[in-house]
Amino acid sequence: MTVKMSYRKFVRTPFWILPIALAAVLLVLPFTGVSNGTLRIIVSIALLSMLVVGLNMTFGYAGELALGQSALYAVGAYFAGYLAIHQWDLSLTLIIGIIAAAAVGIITGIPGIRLGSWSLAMVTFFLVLLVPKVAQLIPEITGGAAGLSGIPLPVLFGQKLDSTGYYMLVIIVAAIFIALLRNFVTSRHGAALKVMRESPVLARSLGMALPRLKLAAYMVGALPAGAAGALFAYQDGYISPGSFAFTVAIAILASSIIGGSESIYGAIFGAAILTIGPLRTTGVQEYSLLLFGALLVLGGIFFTGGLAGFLNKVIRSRFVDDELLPDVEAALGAPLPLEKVNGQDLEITDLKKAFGGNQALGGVSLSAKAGQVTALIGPNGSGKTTLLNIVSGFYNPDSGVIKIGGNHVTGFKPHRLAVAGVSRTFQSPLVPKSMTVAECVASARYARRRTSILADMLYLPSARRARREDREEAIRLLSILGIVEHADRRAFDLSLGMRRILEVARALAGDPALILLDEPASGLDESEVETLSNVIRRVSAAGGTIVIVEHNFEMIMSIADQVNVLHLGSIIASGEPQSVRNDPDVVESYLGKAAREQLERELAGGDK
Amino acid sequence: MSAGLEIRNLVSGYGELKIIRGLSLSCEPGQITVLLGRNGAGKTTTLKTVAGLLPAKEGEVLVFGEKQTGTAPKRVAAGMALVQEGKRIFRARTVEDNLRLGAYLQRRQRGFVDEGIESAYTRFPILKGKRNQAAGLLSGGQQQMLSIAQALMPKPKVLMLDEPSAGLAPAIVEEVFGSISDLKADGLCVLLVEQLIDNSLAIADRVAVLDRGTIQLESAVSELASWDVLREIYLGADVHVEKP
Amino acid sequence: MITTLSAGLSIGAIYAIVAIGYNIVFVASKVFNFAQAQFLMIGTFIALDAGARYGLPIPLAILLCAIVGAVIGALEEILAIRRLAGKGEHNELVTTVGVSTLMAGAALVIWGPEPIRTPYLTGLGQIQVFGSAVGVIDLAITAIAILLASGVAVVTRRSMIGLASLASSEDRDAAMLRGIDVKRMALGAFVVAGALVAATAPFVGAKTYATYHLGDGLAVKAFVALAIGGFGSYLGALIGGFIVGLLEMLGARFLGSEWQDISVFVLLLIVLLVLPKGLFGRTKERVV
Repeated sequence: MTVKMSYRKFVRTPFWILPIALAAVLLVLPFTGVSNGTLRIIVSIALLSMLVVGLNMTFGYAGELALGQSALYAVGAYFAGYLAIHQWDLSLTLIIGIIAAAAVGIITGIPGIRLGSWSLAMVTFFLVLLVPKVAQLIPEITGGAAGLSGIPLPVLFGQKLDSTGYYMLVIIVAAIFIALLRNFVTSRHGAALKVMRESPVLARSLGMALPRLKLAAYMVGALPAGAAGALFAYQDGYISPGSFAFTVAIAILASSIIGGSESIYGAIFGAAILTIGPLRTTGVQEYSLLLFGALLVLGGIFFTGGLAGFLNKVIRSRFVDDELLPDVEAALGAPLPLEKVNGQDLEITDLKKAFGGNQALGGVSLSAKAGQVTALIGPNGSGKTTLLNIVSGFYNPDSGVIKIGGNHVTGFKPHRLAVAGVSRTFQSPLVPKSMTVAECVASARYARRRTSILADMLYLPSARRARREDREEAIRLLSILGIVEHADRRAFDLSLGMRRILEVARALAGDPALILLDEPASGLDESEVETLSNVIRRVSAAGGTIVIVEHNFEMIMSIADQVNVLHLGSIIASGEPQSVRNDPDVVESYLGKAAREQLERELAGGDK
Repeated sequence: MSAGLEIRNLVSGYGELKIIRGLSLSCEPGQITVLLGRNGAGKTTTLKTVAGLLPAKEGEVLVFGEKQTGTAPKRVAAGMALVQEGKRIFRARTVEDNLRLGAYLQRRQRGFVDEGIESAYTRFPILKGKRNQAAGLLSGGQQQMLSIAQALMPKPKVLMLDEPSAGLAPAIVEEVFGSISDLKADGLCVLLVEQLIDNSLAIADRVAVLDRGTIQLESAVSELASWDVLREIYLGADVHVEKP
Repeated sequence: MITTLSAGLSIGAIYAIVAIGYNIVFVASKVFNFAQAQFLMIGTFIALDAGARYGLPIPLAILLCAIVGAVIGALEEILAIRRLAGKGEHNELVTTVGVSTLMAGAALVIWGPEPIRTPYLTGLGQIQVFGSAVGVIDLAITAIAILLASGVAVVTRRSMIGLASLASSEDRDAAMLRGIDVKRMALGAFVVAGALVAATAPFVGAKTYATYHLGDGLAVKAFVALAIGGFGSYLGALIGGFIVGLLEMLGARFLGSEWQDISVFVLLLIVLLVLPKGLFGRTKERVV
């Protein structure tokens, strides 16, 4: 029975020391008499790591099947190689190689915004196959099928680099990119990518503009590929299309899978395994394809996050305890009241929506005031969900006006509405698999407080401040809603009732003008419904505007200030819960004429 | 005599979610049982579990005394049929192909299939005129009739219907419910899930109400005296009917 | 010009054959099997051994190729694809690319890296069509693709099994509720697609030779054929294949051989962005 490490210590351990130490050790190696052959292998691993880390941006984090890394590799290599032949300094060829790859990465990413996964994958595979053809098109620049030879030894800032110098440069550049990309994925941009991968619908409702986010991922992923290409050009003074063949693309993918696609350090593992592996087994390249294929099949079926994911899980479960972090414990000890929530009034006028021949909404008008809970009920097909989806921007109304706080928001798209202060929850809670509860809550702040990608990558003070504030806000809200002790657990592990509360916390994190709750009580047992109802009451008491669609009438009775009953696209009753419940029209819509007649008799006979 | 369809202590749901928590219900041949309940109460979940589309966490389903443990295709072979809500016919196929697909398990018995197609056209004459049209081109009501006819092709012993009235105009609902009522004469066990209470109670023999994961009320339709229990289930507990 | 056209049609026919294989699997199981092209590749090597090593007559070679294709297809479905249930397209991509790579790797290890001539139907010569020389093998391959496409289309539409596979791809639950065993449909589809695609290898090999990396470009270009013709349509796969083949050959003739693949790529982009359903398709490729 091993003694477990304190979670606090674990979180504070600067794990980044390991890669730095590794880099330092590697830098010293040439002076310890290690053979040139080994140094060459290390260079290969470093270059492959850069390629894999870039692939992980698009494939692992953003969830895009964009597999054209080796084409970007080629772009970096050819640009740098050509310029090097023309006596440009390595500092410049490296930068040009990176920029060229980034440009191509963005350009090829543009169709990716609209394409389905297999289409995107095929387009990017095709790009890889095109590299030799494009090279043959401009042989004066690329040397055609024969390749580009005569690339001189690297000259950095005027200094010639020998093989040791080149080796050290590769290690340093690889380390820098790994650090930059690690900062990127641990920042809000990384969180945004994870949210987008889990559910584009959720991402849009949180205010993330998907095209921009995707292009950011493509660009960031292209940078290390371009750098790797540029450096590669100098390795043998010669590059040919064969170095960027389909097999290379497969190797990059396999490394990503084995190391863990959603991991930065995993890229290094994967690259190491895939470089050394084929060399070790009979030393012949023949078997490398078999190896890659087997790894891909196993990885695809048992896709458990690769080596990095496995290690992470094992270390966390066996060697680290469940201790709460200091800020969580402090919040637990001193639960905060909910301060003011800046809810705005919602005004819907004569909203109409038809789907084909079906008039889902036939002119609905209602208002939801700040500080109140407004409920929307009605049988299936009554139009409640349509209404909710229109107010949250996922459908466009055919006609009608929607105003929030007096401002027109009719026809706004989801992410614009999110920025305007609309938050919503979903019938099945959308919760990214690899995020903690606190990270989930914080993800709502992405659209409201912006940080630049550059600041995040360089871990500038502004980025660090944003991260700290995100965490503080998340802890604060979780504490207010009574679930702060779960802050650092995986959101996915929470019970359904807790996940619903988590969604409310996330909705609050964006400082919402309007909160839309979509059947939050479904699937909850009575005590969970009670807890949720308390949370909702507190939010509305603090000034929030809440619109709730629900079937659970007990819950509605206990929390709603105003109830609107929808039936076949129109509001047939509106008022306080008790009066709505005893409204003959409402009873008929749910239970039919016979029930209505009984109620009418009761109401009439009650007068004595 | 064993019941046509018997459900014992069924527990089911999605993932860790338990929506049905110990549901027991039985239906007799030649009778229509209507299952009522609020939205989200689990009526569709119940039908899907009984039909084998969803695995039951606990409990048993029996068709004329035989336990059903297999996947949906096996239960179809045992005589169970489910008409899902949303008119889930194969829209890209013709009306007649849809009917043939209904009798997929009997596809090698030419006579059986042809006879089934003829009865379908007798029961729903409108379908005959559209036999070679793509099913997606039919009107809502016709699609609903096709989905019922399709389910009847293998001559099932148990027929379950999930909100057949959804999206249909009142006159068509009358027609469809008329056809459902006629099935009693064929000795079928019919379990009907519905929102339209008036129409359902007009053709049903028994009524059961699902709430909080189990059956809260079950009785013969003729013995249903007061609407209070139903009102309580759908619209919450009665505090007191306020008088001004 | 006629020569160019016939060459284009026969190359296109090869793409169409793989695209038909894609379709058979996709229609029955909604899985896109990237490894489909490798069945043709493996088939060419089996044909090589059948002829050069065992001296089998061509009908037996075709049968042998079909059997091997069927077995590999079954193995792929049972060992790999079945375990993917519900894991998403990421995993489907990685696994099918993995199977494709495995097959190429196996071919490389077993038969080596050099392209080898397959022994069947070589030296068929040429005939005169409208005054131009046209390879007989080109005509044969084109005819095979047309036969295959029409045969599969007819069987799918007319037989109950074919109807059932169309139904299960349209609505899986509804199909199960009608008694259709959707899982067995998927297995059957992999077996049939594997057998059919591999069976054409004795003919195709005469044109392409047997080489371990035959599959890569084929896989991608057959996808283009499917994108043009529409997922789920056999006629579409055929016409799409011909369009791609013709574009390639015409591109090579008028622009130069380097422009061959680039023009197909541009065509792919245009089709995906402008005509996402293809010419005859009923389903857009799932947009995740």
